[in-house]
This record gives sequence, C-alpha cells and structure tokens, in this order.
Amino acid sequence: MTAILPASVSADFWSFAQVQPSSLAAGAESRVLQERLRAMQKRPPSAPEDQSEPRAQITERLFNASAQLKILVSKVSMHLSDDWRQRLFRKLDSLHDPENWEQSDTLVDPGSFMGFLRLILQIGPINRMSLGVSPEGHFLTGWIRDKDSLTLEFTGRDEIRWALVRHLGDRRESAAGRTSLERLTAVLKPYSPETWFENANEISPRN
Amino acid sequence: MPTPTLAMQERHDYKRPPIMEAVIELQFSQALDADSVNKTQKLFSKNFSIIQAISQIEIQLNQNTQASSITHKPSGYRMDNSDSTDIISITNAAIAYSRLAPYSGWNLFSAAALMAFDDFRKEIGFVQLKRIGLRYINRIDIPLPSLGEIVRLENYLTIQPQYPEDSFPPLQGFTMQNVFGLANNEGSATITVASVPSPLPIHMGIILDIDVARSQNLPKSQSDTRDLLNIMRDEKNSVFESCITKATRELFDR
Amino acid sequence: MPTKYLPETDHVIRIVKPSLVMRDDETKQVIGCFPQAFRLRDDERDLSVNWLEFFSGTKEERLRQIRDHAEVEVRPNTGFACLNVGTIHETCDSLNLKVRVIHEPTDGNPAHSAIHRYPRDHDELFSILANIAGQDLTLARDTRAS
Repeated sequence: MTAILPASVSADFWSFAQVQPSSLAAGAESRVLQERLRAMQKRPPSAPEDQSEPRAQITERLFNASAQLKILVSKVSMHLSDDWRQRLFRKLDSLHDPENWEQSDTLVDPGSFMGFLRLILQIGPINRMSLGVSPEGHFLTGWIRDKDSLTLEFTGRDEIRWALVRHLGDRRESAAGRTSLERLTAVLKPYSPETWFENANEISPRN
Repeated sequence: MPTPTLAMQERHDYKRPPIMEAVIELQFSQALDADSVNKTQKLFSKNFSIIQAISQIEIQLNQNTQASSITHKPSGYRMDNSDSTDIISITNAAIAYSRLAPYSGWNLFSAAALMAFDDFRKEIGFVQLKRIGLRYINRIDIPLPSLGEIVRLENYLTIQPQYPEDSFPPLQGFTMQNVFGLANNEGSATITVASVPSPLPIHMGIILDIDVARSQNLPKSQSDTRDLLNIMRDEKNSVFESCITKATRELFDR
Repeated sequence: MPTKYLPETDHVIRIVKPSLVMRDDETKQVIGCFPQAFRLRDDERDLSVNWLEFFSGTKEERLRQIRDHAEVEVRPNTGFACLNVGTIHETCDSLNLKVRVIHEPTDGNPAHSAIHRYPRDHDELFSILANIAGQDLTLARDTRAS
C-alpha cells in the first residue's frame, strides 16, 4: 500500500520527481546506482533537446517553434478531439507564417502556451478564437462578438491577464484584471462568459 | 521450481489511451559510419523535414600540457514530420521510429515504422542488430479529490514503491525502475513508474513507461521483424494491463 | 516651437503588428486587434501614432502615405487601426486619465504624433481602445494603390 501526497501544481510540467543527491561514496555499487538514477533522469525521447541553435533563418525558426507547440499539444491530445486539434494546428501554422513575423517579434513562450492548453482542458475546447502573441512572447487568445470583446493573455505559471468590453444597450461596460487559471471562470461570471466560451459557435464576425 | 513467466492479459481498446509516445528501436551491433547516418537523414528529409542534429560532447584533456578542448561531434539526427506526430531518430548506434500522442493505433504505427526501416535497409544495406526495443510511455492523469488530499497509488497501479507508512509521511514524488526477464530470458521488460505533474487541473500524473526488448535470435528479414514486433506488442500489452487497475481503466474510457 | 495638439475631430492611426491582429477563425476576416497593440512598447515613452489628416486625399490615400512613411516594419498583414482623437480623450477621461495627443514629426515621418501621459499599465484602457480601433482596421496589403 502506498500513499502519495502530490506536491502543489508546478508550472515546470516536464520535471520528474527530484532525485536527491546522496552522500559521496567510493564503492562500485554506489557508481552503479548513480548511473541508473542519472539514466532515469533523462528526459523522454520526445522532448526537444536543449541545444543552442545557431542563428537560423526566420522561416526555420518559425517552423521549429510551431513544431514545438504542436509537441506540447500532443502531450494532452488524448483529452482533445481530433477535429479541434487539427484546427488548432492550422491556426498555429498561420500564427507562425513568415509573412506575418517581424524580426523583432518574440516566439511563443512554451510555458505560456501550456497555460492556454490547461485552460482548454479545464473549460473544454472553444471555437472561433483568434490567436496572437504579445511582444513578450505570451500566448494570446480572444473573441469578438458584435462589438463585445474578451481577450486573455497567458503570462505563465497558470496566471492569466484578462480584459473585456461589453455593450449593454447604449452603455459600455469594461473590466480587466489578473487571475489564476482556476479562478478565471469565477472571475468572469458577472460578465456572462458563456457569451464567448459556450456560445462560441454562434459567434459571427463583426460586420 | 520453474521461474514464473509473464501471464498474458486480455487486451483492451480504450477511448482515450494514455499513450504519450510509442517507439520502435533497432540497435546496431556495429556503429554506423557518419556517411551512412547522413545518407539516412537525406533519405527521410522530404517527409520528415524538421531536422535537429544530435551531438555528443567530447572533452579532451592533454595530461602533459593541461590544455583542454571541447568539441561537439554530431552523432545523428532527429527528424520530425510537419506536425511532429512522427519522429525518426538516427544515430551511429540505432534507428528509432516514434509516434507521439495522439496514438494512431498499432497497425498504422507499426506499418509506418516498418516502412521506414525497410527504406533504411534499401539505402544503407543489411545492418546486423544487437537489440530490438518496443517502448510505450504512458501518462495516467489521476483526479485528485482536492488539492492537499492523499492519493492511494494501489487504487491505480499494481506496481509502486512500498515503504513503512507507519514510520514515514506520505510520498511527495518517486521514480522507480524495474526489470523483468521475458521469453526465457531472450528478452526483457523494463517498467519505469514515476510521479509527474499533470497538465489537467486538479490531477496528478503517473508515468508508466514499458520498454520490451529482445537481444537474442533477432530477425533478419522484414517479415520476421514484423512477426517479432507483434509478439512483443502482445507482451507489452500484457505488462500494461498487469500494472493497472479497474479504476485506471475507467479513466481511459471517460 | 509651439506644441501642436491634434484636433478632436481628427484621427490617429496606430500601427498593429500582424501577430496582434485578430481574425475570425472560420472566415479569416480581420475582426479587430488585441489590447496589447495599445500597450507601450519597451522603447516607447509615449504611445506612438500617426496623424491621419496630416496627409491630404481620401482615407485610402492617407493610409498609403502613413504606410510609406512608417518608421516601423510594415508587413502585408500589418494593421492600421484608426481612432478618433476625441474618442481617445473621452475614453481616457472616463478612466481619470488626462492624455495629450501631440504632433511630433520626425525626420522620416512628418505625420508622427504621440499620446503623452499615457499609462504603461492599464489593461482596461488598452482593451477599450483596441475594441474601438479594431472596428476600423485596415491591413497594409489593402492600402496598395488600385
């Protein structure tokens, strides 16, 4: 029988449990154990190698960056429908189109993108999203319905910067804030988030 | 007394198989030369166009002069298809075909791998093998009752670390590797179990990594390779089903 | 040289990077821009904009001039987001922000202007400005001479 008390959620999604260094020993058995533990700490083969890449052409950088995000999607793909996943892949390709990238642009931070994926895993796959990248490399997603807009910026470590504008008759209502992934739906509740999240399929583009 | 052998378990088809990566690897008995490695990279570069070099770092120290030098020696390539769902890795020691999640099913995966290996043989010629490996890395996402609650591993896994619970607080994490002989010790099953964070909110993750290998009586033809892989797949499935519980199976069918 | 404030009836153009232009998922139509387009960049002290009516002609002709004088990279899918100066003041006033929209020509861009006293960290303001300007956003590719 084994009880485990999981550590608090870490944004370092790929880390295995830390192997504690042992006191220095000189015998053959300690060397054998050390080698085994070192081998176990190797990242899974699918994880991209940490290599400093030479300055690559922007096309190659973008291609590789898009591939890296798709690998992250693959880690959770068993929880996504094929159709939604394929549509996300097309959007990622479009986001990484060399025609749209400037030399000064920052590639999407993988930790930020994982925040977006974790939101999708929490609230379900949402349609009709626009995707973007902030100058800091934070993944952005947004919806516009008629004149109403909601945008989310994934700043890393499951933190989200949100902003919305709603028009109620002649009045404009706006709000913005920062919250955690777990709290987002509660924080947005007063502003009818189903407008964007659940009814996303009914969203029509602005005329 | 006869040594217990692997009991074959019934295979299940799951709605959401927890497979993160499936790999078939052929290890060469003699190192491939650099020219052959480069030829292999070119062979697959059309359909596997995302290419990363794999390097070894060599440190040389001259004992007389105390001068040291570090060189990066390319030892192979990792080649992804455009969606990075399929990956071919070639080094001087081995060739491997990986399929990342979502898993495409055994028929598609094994056929793609065998086709790649066949193309490799046609390009490079016959290469003597020393090991064939079939490895499945699974991630089981276990829902937590709430943060701060203990999870009983035995509810989900039949292979897990044991310690005296009366004397220790609950585990906070673990990595465990176990090796078993298979097929009259012509092969082995290496089972690695480890705790990891889960991408799902209010879940924890368990990696169940099963690597079934053969290092004797290795096949020499494509059809023999296919037959052996089918046997190894059945062994892998049996190991997997033996390591999980009914509660775990229910997670894969949600 | 006296400070030239832009008239409230005139308009300014904020240049929006392609990665901050919002498109509809299904139709690929441009539907707006992210609020981050209205955040100060690291190298900006004041929000850099372009005075639309500095140039003469139709709106399309003016946008072409702004494109031609832009001192930032312009790609085919770079956006030109248009805001009325009066609306900027009204919006900022409603959030207790007193900004000044001032003509500040540069050597390369005679229409360059800047919004002074613009906050560095005000997501609500940025989202409102993006929401309004996103309703009047033209892509650089659509400003080519017909």
